[in-house]
Amino acid sequence: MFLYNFLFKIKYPLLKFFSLKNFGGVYSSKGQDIFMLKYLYNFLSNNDNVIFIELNTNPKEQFLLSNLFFRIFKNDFIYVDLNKKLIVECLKKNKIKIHGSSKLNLGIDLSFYENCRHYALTNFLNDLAKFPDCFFNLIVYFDKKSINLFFNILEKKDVKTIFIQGNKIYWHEIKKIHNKLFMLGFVFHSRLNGKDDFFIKSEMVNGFSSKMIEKYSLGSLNKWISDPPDSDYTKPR
Amino acid sequence: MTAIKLLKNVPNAKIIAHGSLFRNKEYADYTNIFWKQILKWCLKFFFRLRIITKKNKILDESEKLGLISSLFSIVEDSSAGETKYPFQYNELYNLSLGAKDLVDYIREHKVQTVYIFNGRTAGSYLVAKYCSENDVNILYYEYAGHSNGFRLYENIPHALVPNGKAFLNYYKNGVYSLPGLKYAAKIIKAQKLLHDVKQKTTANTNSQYDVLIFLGSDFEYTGVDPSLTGVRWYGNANFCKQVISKFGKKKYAIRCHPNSEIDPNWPILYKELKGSLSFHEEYIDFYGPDSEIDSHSLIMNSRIAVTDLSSIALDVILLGKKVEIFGNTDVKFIYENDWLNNQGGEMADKIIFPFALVHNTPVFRFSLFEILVANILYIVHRSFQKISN
Repeated sequence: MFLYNFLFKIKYPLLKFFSLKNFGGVYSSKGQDIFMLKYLYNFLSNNDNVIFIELNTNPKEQFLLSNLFFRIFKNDFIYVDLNKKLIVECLKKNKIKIHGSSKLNLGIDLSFYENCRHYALTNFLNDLAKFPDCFFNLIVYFDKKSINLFFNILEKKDVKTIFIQGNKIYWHEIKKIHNKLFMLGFVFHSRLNGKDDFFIKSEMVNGFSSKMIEKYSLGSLNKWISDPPDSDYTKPR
Repeated sequence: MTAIKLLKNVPNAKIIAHGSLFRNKEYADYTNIFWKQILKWCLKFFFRLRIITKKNKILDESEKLGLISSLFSIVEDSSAGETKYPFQYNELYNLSLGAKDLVDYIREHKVQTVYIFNGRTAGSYLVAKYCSENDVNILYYEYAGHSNGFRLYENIPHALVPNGKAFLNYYKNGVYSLPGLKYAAKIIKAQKLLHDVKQKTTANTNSQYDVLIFLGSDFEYTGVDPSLTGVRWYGNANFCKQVISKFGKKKYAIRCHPNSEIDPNWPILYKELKGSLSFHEEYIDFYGPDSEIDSHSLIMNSRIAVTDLSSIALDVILLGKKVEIFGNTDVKFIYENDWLNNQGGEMADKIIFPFALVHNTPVFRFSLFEILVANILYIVHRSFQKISN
């Protein structure tokens, strides 16, 4: 395990490890999920009404993150395949049973879950109306196909975190997109492996309301939002 | 430094101040006047500070609450007034007149959003009140420790319940290290249970009580506007009467607030309190502010403790005893919150976690350069203060 972690750290130098024992040693072949889990553990364990939405156009990494969150926290997830124009909706109320090995199986097919609803991507935004009081987390494999849908979801739903994968594909627009996210009350939290960006709503980072940031156009204050210290929260800062 | 930072980061922002701020003494401010003038001219030259000049000359009675609040805090005397402290009163009166001029400016220029320090003091209360009553957006800034950042509140800092709500929301949904939080909670719990007052009160009691009443500090909340903060101070006598009417004929202990010891008006208030409770005298033991009996010993020997606005309610919970909180406080909101109650574990263990995060929220950092400048300014400020002294 030490050797594996060591190699992992070399491959992803910005990755911060946490105790894998608490999570059954589950992680994907890439480090993003571990990184996200470390920061989202608190939020995911304290709330039942959390839904992950994965907007994907990359056939190589299907279900990469939503799968992991579902397995550990039993969070509902909606997987949107923008290439195949297909939605897979996996909700607790559908009594999902997991088959196969306990290890994360990348490249899974849809038969991995029972009772997941599959349907065509037609009126996805209106479909989200049936989740009135839920917190959404977006996992986006970023490209031109997903960008409009991505911002439409942000306008309609209370999105708490955004994980943008593969943003190099859209690099010439990314700064503009980041500024737009800042104005919507998101704080840039970290860049993993030089390409994947993780954004979190301001109230989750230091308690200051993201609605206030949006209302008063305080996006440029975002980079000054103070991250919690690593250990002693009692130190005045 | 905070005002400058906000000026740089908030679109279409202007920095304004009243001239009286550079001539008068604000809360706990003994800054040298010459240094104040240097600061004023630097702000004018580099940041286009707009100085509002004096127009108003009289305050109505209803406009004096900020003045009273600042006066009580400065002199720590619940009977403070114009005749007893004429110098401090006049200084604060001028600051309040300045705040009234600022309100006129906000009204005339139809300012949409105001960022102001604190909101309770002589120099800020009238602005906070005007904005609140006239739907003008207002955000309050406060210091964050060690001058390395500032806090930005959407509710006035003394609005205990909304701020308690924000702490709990952050605790529930925040992004932070759980082992780090556990470590901090351990430290803050130890600090809370071994605070300065406890070191002075070392004696224990064996008397048993049905109800233990903790009194509040008269000069702390008298000057707080309930319409802005949701916090109302009815006075200790009224509070005790409410408690006794609720619990009936029981054995009571009444513990006075340790701050009352420094209040010159306390002997009069104490006499009035005892007089108003004489109908129930035989069932009440009083423990004055100078009593050496440890409050924690009283808590452990009582069936229930009752508080109004005092933060000792948190001590009671941490000691695993039952508490009833009459006032609208952050401790009450968090203690009675359904979500927290439904989480596993004892309340005595879990309630400290949201409070361990208090130093984190909602802090905005200064840059390294800003911290450097702030520290240099602080050194110069202290030097001027020494010269003044």
